[in-house]
Amino acid sequence: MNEKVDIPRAGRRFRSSRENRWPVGLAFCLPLLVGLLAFTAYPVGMSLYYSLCHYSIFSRPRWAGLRNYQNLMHDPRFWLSVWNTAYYAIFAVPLGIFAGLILALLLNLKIKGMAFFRTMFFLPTVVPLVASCVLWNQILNPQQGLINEFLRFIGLPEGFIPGWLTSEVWSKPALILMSVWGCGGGMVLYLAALQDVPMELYEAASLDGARAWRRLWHITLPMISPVLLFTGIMGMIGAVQVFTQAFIMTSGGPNQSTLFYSLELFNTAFTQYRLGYTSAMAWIMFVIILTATVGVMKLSNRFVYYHS
Amino acid sequence: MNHGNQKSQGAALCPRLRFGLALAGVLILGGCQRRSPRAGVSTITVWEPFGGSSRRQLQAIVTTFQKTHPLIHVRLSYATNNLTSSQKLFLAIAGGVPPNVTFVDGQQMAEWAARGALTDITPEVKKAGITGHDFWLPRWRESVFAGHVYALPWGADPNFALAWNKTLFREAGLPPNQPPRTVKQLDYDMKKLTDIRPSGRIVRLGLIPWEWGNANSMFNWAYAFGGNFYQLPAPGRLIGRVTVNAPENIHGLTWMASWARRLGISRVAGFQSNFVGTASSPFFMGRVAMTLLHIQQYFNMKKDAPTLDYGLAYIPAGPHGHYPTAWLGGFSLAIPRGRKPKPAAFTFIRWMCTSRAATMAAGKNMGQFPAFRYSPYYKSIRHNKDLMVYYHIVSRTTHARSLMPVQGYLMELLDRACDQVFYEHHTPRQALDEANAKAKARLVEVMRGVARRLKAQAKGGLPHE
Repeated sequence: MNEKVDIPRAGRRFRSSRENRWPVGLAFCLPLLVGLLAFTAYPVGMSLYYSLCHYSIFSRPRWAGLRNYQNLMHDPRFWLSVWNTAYYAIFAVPLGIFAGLILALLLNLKIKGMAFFRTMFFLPTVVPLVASCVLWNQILNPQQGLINEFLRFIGLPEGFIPGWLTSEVWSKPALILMSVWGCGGGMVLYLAALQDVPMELYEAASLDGARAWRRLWHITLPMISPVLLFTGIMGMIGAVQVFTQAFIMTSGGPNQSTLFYSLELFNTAFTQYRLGYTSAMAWIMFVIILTATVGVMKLSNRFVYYHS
Repeated sequence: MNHGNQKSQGAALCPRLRFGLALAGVLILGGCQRRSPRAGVSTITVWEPFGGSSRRQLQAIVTTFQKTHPLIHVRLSYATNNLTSSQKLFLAIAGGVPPNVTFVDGQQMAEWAARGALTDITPEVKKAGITGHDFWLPRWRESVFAGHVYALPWGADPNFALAWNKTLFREAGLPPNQPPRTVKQLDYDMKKLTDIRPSGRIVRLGLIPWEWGNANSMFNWAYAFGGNFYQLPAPGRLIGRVTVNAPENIHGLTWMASWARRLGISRVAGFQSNFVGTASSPFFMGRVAMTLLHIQQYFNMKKDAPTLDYGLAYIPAGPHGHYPTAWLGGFSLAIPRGRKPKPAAFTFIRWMCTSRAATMAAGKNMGQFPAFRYSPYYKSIRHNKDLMVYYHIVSRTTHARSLMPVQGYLMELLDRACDQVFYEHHTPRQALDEANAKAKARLVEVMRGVARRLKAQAKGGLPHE
C-alpha cells in the first residue's frame, strides 16, 4: 500500500526554491524579531528576574527569592490599591459598555443629521486624556463645576451636593463618571456590529409578533455578542491599568481613595526606588489580567454567539 | 533580445541605486553627527529642571560662563524633576550615560547620595578652598552625606514669609499693621477673618494651613511649634535618630487638624480648586486674608496684583517654637555617578554656585536667592523692605526639610499621616507614630545597603543593592 507520490518536476523545483529562500524571509523578519526580543522579551524576562531581587536601579540587584511577593501580601497599601482598582473596574467597565451600546442603538436609527451626531459622540474619544482630565477637573469642581451648578439649579440642598474629587466618598464615582464620557470608541464598534445584523432576522421576528425589546434581547444582543466580549475584555484591561486620571487629577487622594494599582506601582518605583518590589507588583497585575481574561473567555462560550 | 535589454537597464540602474544608497547613508550619518566643538574644548551636558522663561535666563548665565571659560562648552538640556522622582536621570545613570552635571533638589541630596547616584566631590571642594561657611547653613547641610560633599548649593528658597492683606484686616476690625506673631494670635485673626455662609459656601478664609500640600505644611507647622524630624548621626555612625513623632510635631499636626475640622477639609479643597494658575491665587484675589508666600509668588504678586495692600512678616510661632521660624529649600548642582567626571564639570559647578557674576544674575534675573552667602545680590536688595524679610529668613533659619536619606518616602508618609488625621481616621499621635515606625524601618533598610556598598567599594568590587 506504500504508494510513492510522484511530485512533478516543476513542483519539486518550486518547493526546493521555497526552502532555499528561508534565509531571505528571515532577513526581512529580522528587524521585527530583534525589536521584539530586545524591547519586549528581554525587559519582560528581566522584570521577572528583578521581581525576585532587591533592586533600586543604582546598584546591582541582590537575590531575594519570593520575599517581594510575600511582603506584598502583608502590605496594606497594596491591598488598598487593589480594592480601589477593583471598585473602579467593576463599575466603569459595565457602565462604559452600557452607555456605548445605548448610544450605538440610538445612532443606528435612520434620522436626519446622523453623521453629525455620530461625530459629536465620538469626539471625546480623540481628545487626549490629559486634556480630558483638565476639562473634567473643571466640570467636577464642587463649587463652580457644571454638574454641581446643575444640581443646585434643580434645587438639591447644599448638604446633598457631592464633593466629587475633594471627597473620599465621591472621588471614585467621579472618575467612573468621567470614564463613561469616553465610551465613543466602543460605540463605533457596536454601531459597526449592529449594521452587520441581517435585516431578515428582524423581519421574521416582527412577523412573529416580537416587539422592540424582544428583538433587542433575542436578536441584536446575541448577534453583537462577540463585539461586546471584545470591548469587555479590552475595557477590563484598561480599567486595571488606570493611571493618568488619578496621577493628574487627584495624585491618589483624597486620603488615598484614588490610589489605583498603577499609581501605587509608579510611586513605589520612582519615589521609593524599590524596582524589585515594583516588578513583583507588575507581575501580580499581569497574573490578575491574564486570569480574568482567560476566565471571561471560558465563560464566553455560554453567552457569545459567532454567527459566521 | 529582451533579456539583453533588461540586463542593460539593470546595469544602468545599478550605479544610480548605489549613488542613492550612498547619498542616504551620508545624510543619515550626517544627521546623527553631533556638532563637534573646536579642538581642546571640553563639552559638558547640564540637565536643568526649569524650562520656559527661567531656562532663557539660565542660558544667559551659561553664555556669560562660556565667555570667561572659552575652553568649556556647556550644553543645557531640560529634564523634569518633580522633587520626589526623576526617572530620566535614574535611567541615564543606570545606563551609564548620565549628564556631566545635573540640578538636584536639596531634599533629594541625602537619598541620592546614600543610594550611590552622585559622585563624591569632596577632594575637588577641598582643593578649591570651598567650605560650609560659604553657604547658608541648611543648604550646605543638605549637600553633605556621611561626611562627604556630593553637591554645591545653588539656590536658597526662603520658605516662607507670611503675607497678609491689610484691606481685609481692616474690614474684619483687625489692626492692619499688626501681623500675628504667635499661633494663638493667628487663631484669633483666622476666626475673625473667616467668612463661611450657612449654606457652606466659602466667602473668605483667614489662612489655609495646609496650602502647600500636606507634607510641606507639616514641615511649616512642626518647625513653627519647635519640632524636628531627624537628628543627624554622630560622627562615625550612619543612622541618626528619627523623630517624626516628636511632641512638637504632634502639636503642629493637631493645630492643622483643628482647622481642617473647623473649615471642612473637602469644602476647602473645593474652594482651592477654583483657583488655577499663578495669576489667580486666592490671596491675590482677596479670598484668603493670609498666605505663606514663596519668593517666586512674591514676584508674581508684584506683577499680577499690583494694587494689593499687603504686608510681609514671618510664620507665627507655637508655644515651643522660635519667632521667626522657616526652612530653606532650593536646588544644588551635582555630578551624577556613571561615567568618569570631567574636570570642566566641577569648574562649571563652582562658577555657578560661588562666583559673583553667576549668583548675582541668578538673583536679579531668575528671582533665585543664591545659596552663596557672600553673593553681591544680597547687597543689591538692602533697600527693598520686602526682599529683606526673605533675606532675614535665609540668613537666620537653621532648618531644611529633613536630612533623612529616605526623604521621598518620608514625604509620602507625612502626606498620608495628615490625610488620616484630616479625615478623622487617626489621631495625630497615632498617625505620626505609624509614620515614624515606617520611616525608621525604611531608613535601616537603606543604610544597610549603604554599608554593603561602602564595604564592596573598599574591596574594589561592584556595589550590590
